[in-house]
Amino acid sequence: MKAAAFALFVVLLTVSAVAYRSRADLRERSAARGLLELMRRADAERDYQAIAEASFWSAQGRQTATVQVFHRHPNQRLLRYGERYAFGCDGEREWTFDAKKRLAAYTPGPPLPKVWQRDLDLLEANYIIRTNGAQSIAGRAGVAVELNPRQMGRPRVKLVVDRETGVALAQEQFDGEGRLLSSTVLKSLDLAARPAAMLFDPPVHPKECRPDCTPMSRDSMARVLGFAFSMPSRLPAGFREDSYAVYQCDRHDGCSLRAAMATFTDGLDQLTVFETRPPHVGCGESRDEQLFARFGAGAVAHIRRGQLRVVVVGGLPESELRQVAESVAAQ
Amino acid sequence: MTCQAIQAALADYSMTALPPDMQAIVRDHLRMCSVCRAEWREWRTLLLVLDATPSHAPPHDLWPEIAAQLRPRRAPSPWHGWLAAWRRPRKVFALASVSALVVLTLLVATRGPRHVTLRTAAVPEAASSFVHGHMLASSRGLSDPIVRGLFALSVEEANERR
Repeated sequence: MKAAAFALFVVLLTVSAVAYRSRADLRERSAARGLLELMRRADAERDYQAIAEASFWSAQGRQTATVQVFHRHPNQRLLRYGERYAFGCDGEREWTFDAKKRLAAYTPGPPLPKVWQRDLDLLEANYIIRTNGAQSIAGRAGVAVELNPRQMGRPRVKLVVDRETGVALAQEQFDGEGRLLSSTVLKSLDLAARPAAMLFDPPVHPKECRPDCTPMSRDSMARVLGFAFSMPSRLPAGFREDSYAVYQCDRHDGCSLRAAMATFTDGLDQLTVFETRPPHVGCGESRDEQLFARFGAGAVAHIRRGQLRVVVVGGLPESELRQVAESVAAQ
Repeated sequence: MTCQAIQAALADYSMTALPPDMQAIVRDHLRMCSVCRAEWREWRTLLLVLDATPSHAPPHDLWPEIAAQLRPRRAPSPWHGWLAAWRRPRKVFALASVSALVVLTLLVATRGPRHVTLRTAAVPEAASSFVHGHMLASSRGLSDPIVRGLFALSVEEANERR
């Protein structure tokens, strides 16, 4: 009888411990998720100005840039990399601008909250999200959030989020072996700033690249382009198809390209696959080539076979992008 | 073994410098994995290029001049035959090439204590314009937008250096 009571006591104790641990995990997970949601809202709703130092490591060594960051409600954002390059959103259009080439790229629309929620669910399916203590950056009290991949070899991300405003104070990305790929740290943060609205306007009269990001089906895209996009037969685990669009680019050298653009995401990162087929106007002669290059946290795989060109861009290891590109080009 | 480990061993594999069991593991992996096979082909091409590099014979009067400045030889030792091989310029050149290749590989593989250093090249002009498209298409993701901008800028700068 005593033994039975003791066994029952042990079972109850174990169940309580497991339940307590699960609740603690749940609390920690929802705290981390709450911080990510706060960060996303700060991106769209906060006014602030900051100076960030960004670095990544590539074959050329460490590359560093001091970046001016401007945010204005609603959904206006500008990242300025010296005089050469800018990446912004005027609330309605996302744009990039290369001042040297006078080449701009546009796409309509800031992100929808519904899409963000869906991405966050996918993120949780592919990454273990947890908070990891407090950290002070640029005089602000932040909380560290770690995104640890469930898939072996995938990048790991550490964020420090301002616990009061949700502004991302720092972000580091590590490769599958724990080596640092890139980092961004805010050196100063001015939450009282109210940047002028005209700052976020896209440049005037540039050469243009224009992805038509109106959501469309693969069939519609095929009708617009005149060829069917070849779905990659090999996709990295955890990634799922996200959107299709037509990408059109009139480059500064006179080459005019139209491409099928397909995006795939695992909630954190995005893989963009471009496929072009002739005619390319003013793009020079075509010769077969393959090229794979990594630049810090991003990589590009480029395959040209005859008149077919496949370009895959994303933050995954080079070998994975290569497999995706080869699986498209092989069809 | 992972592809990364296999690719790290490819330099040694190409020169048959791995232990026999490792040599077999890498060979089996290469049969199955097209990615590593492509990487290995690059190594092989590099070695073939090195192999095909003509060795330049030194001027005929170089060695007598050097020999005249050396101290008189001692009695031949048991190592004499082995050491003599080192005096042949072609072998020395070949050995220096292979050593340089191994050192280069090690440098590339181990450069920096924490940071990744990867082989790279410029991206073709046409491909670089797609990087801007990717930037815009991925702007709603959680990946760091500041670093993504630096990535796009680096692609352009690498092209200009090319």
